[in-house]
Amino acid sequence: MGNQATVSIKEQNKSAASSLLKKNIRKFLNNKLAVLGLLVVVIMLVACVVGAIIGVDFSTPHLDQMKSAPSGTYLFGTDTIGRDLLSRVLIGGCYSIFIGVFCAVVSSVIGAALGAVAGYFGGKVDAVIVRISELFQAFPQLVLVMMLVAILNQRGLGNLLFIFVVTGWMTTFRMVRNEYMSLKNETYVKVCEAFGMSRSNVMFKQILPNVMSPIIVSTTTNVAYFILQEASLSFIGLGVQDSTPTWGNILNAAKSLQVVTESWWIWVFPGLAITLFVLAINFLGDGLRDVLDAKQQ
Amino acid sequence: MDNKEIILDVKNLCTTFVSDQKEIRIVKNVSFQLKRGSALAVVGESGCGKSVTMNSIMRFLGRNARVTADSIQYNALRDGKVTEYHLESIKKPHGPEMRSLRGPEMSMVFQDPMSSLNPVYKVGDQVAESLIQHFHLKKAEARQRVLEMFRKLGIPDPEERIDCYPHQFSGGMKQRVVIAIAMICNPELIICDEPTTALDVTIQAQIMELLKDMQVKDGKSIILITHNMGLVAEMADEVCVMYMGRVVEFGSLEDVFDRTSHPYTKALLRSVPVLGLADGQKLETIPGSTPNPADLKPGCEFADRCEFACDKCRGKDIPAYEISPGHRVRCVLYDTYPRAAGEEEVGI
Amino acid sequence: MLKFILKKLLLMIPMLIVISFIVYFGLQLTGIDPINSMVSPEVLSANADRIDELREELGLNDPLIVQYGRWLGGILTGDLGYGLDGTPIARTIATRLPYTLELAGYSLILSAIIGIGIGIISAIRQNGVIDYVGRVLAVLGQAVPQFLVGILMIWIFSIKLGWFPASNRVDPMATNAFVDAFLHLFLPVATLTIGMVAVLMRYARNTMLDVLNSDYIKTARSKGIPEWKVYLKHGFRNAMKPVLVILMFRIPTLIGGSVVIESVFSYPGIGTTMTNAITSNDYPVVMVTTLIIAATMLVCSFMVDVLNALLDPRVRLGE
Repeated sequence: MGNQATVSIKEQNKSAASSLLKKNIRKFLNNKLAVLGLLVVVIMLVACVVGAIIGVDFSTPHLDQMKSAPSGTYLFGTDTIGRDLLSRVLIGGCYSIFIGVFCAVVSSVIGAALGAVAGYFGGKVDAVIVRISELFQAFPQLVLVMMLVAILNQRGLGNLLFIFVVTGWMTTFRMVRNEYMSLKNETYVKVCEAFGMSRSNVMFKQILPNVMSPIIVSTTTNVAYFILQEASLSFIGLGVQDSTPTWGNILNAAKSLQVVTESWWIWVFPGLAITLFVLAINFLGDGLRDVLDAKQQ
Repeated sequence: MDNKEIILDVKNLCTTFVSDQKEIRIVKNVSFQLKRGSALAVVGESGCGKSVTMNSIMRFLGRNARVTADSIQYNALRDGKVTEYHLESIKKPHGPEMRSLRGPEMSMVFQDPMSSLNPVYKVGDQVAESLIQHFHLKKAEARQRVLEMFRKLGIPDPEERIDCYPHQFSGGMKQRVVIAIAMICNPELIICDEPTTALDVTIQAQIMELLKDMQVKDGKSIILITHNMGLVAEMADEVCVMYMGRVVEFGSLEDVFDRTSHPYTKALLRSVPVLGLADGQKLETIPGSTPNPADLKPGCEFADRCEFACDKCRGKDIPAYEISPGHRVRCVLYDTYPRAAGEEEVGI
Repeated sequence: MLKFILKKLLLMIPMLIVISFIVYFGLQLTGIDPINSMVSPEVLSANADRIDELREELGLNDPLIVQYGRWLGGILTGDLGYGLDGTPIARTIATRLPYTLELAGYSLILSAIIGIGIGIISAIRQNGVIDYVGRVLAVLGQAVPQFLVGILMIWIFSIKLGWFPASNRVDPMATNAFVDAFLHLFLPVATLTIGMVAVLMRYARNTMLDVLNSDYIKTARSKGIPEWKVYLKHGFRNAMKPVLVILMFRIPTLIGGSVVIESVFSYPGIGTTMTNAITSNDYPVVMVTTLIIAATMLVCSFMVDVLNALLDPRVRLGE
């Protein structure tokens, strides 16, 4: 027995961790939909970024080529004022994906921090934060966003990001708070506290790693959520300025019945782009959940 | 022994679970007989297939379970005449044939009274439900019968309690309600799946008392699933020891406890804490832990934890040897083992 | 039970006050002259010379908190003020709120029935055809933006097939009010319902699966009652509660969705009113519509609380 124990615990942990990682990767690769999702996300992302880097022309209107159907020159056709739709979808993708990722990450960080504080400390702090989040939830999020748009009185990318983050932290908050409330009664937390660890240490170094998996999963699916949210807002004309293309902004043209009737390409291509990307993100999120969710293992 | 004496006869029951395209055999070739009016205890560590065996007989398992058996024969005795039911050939697990047996013929008391009652209905209505189903009683008549049953089971203030919801009951009272549900249609066979594991020790004794009464006074046949050897000694006429989905030893209480013939049974008996354990005498444990049913090696499942294991134990399935009438053991060392071990008999 | 309802009702009041407070002060930050919303334009132009006096008279020089009180008082007595174009907001609301309630209400009921129905069936017949189709639909329904579904609906059903009108709520030429309502409501309600069903179905399925795995279902089966009774009486009743809660949580999304869908179908409801008000900086209207939507939300959540209590004795008997 003693001879085998010469391998240090650290080594053992390392090999255990790497085998767990390997197992998780294998598990993820077994989920074909998740792999497909990842592939689609990566391909679309690369296409959009490459489009932005080589500087495709998305803003010059060709007034003689308005609403021309897809052709060799314009693969996706042109929009109502003759801008190349393919370039607009690519650049729009950069903006839309950026909005989705940025808002998902920042709102997750805010939600997780507030959730950790509320769940761990409980009592009055908890009550106040929960009240605030309930207040936010009493409004339909879109209406809240619209109200903020009205207050800020200016449409712009910065404002949009701000608004989404302010209105988007509640779901993560609720989830993290619940996790903390149950985890803080676990023995290992009690042990850490008994050893005299500082509260912030217990909160972020001891408990947080156990909550990371659901946070990662919800952040992933939130990317899809914010992309859809931006699209809706831009569609009704309250998103970013018209000069900045996003998938939603491009679709705004389809508010006109004439466009819907006569120029299908103007709404089908950006619509497909959103749907495909969101679908892929959702598959990816489901796959991650399967791999990371400890409850299912 | 004819059909009048045997109430349940199980031959070669196998249950296989299918998950992720893998088949895992949970119950393997289980055979036993239950005599009418007697109590059979099924013992073994957690996860050894006790509950699955009983749920297979009652057909309570989900779609991912496949149950096969040479025979699961239930003999109903009505007015001196025996009706045979072959449960293994009933196709639909929740079809009319199976349902007509559940309640008036065989019923089950589940492990956890906290979750066995539907939280949204009054307890009285939950007990009355099967009366109304099987005997087509009016609500008022059923209510009277439920009240009687509550009184019999020692539930205080039955008139008041009958209209309460489960969450207003304590654990022990809830388990009485669960027993009432099992008993209300006066079944012949009652399967109790660890009925007291979730309860306090004092309540446990009361509940076991109730069950013993039913067997002795009303002549019911009882199958008691438990891992509490003390309960077994008190309650059972016959004992069935299971390990990793197999019956490793089966026999009368005396056979199994006094003429223990399987190392696993011996180990189980040795690990029972006894009042008055001498100072310095250590409580024995079974080395190792139960293997994963998904990757079992061929041969005796217990071999890896058995101090007497030899080459004969591995490689192929161990048959059951009948060492005396009604005493079967699944161990190649059945004839030499008790002496080879050279141990004193363990009393409880 | 009565006490429970009263308690919940009383709890709504502070919530409403806080919301109105936020709405009022939030929009004060935009610095728009409130006189336009308090006095009808005719009066205003007739008295152009004595605006300062009017200001004093109307109390616009009072502290903000006093003005807020007065605004709230006005709302409570039904005086909602005037929009930028001079129409009394009360009149706009009176014509448009019912349309939105119609739209959201029908969608809520329909999606609850369809979503919960399919969800429960998929749970009972797990891995069956309905389960499979339902799962695919749920995934798609959550990935396609709702307004795109609306556009598709218009494209297929009103442009290609010509079955339903693509916009508006009332056709002045219509002879039968009921048929007219049906034709105009069908597409927007269907669009909203699809989005809701996708979520509800998935949730109802998972909840019902959980319930069907619980011990009391086994107890119910051990009584020998027929399977439909096991599913409906013992399963469904218990699955309803969490599903209703999720229904409540989806109501904001439904109302948010109806704002977008109204825009797609040029449907003259509160949503379009609000969208137009925001684009044209018509703050008084924004304030009132926001307040109304928030109040509707609170009422819905109150109703779900009551339903919840009716379904669960543990809540009803007041712990």
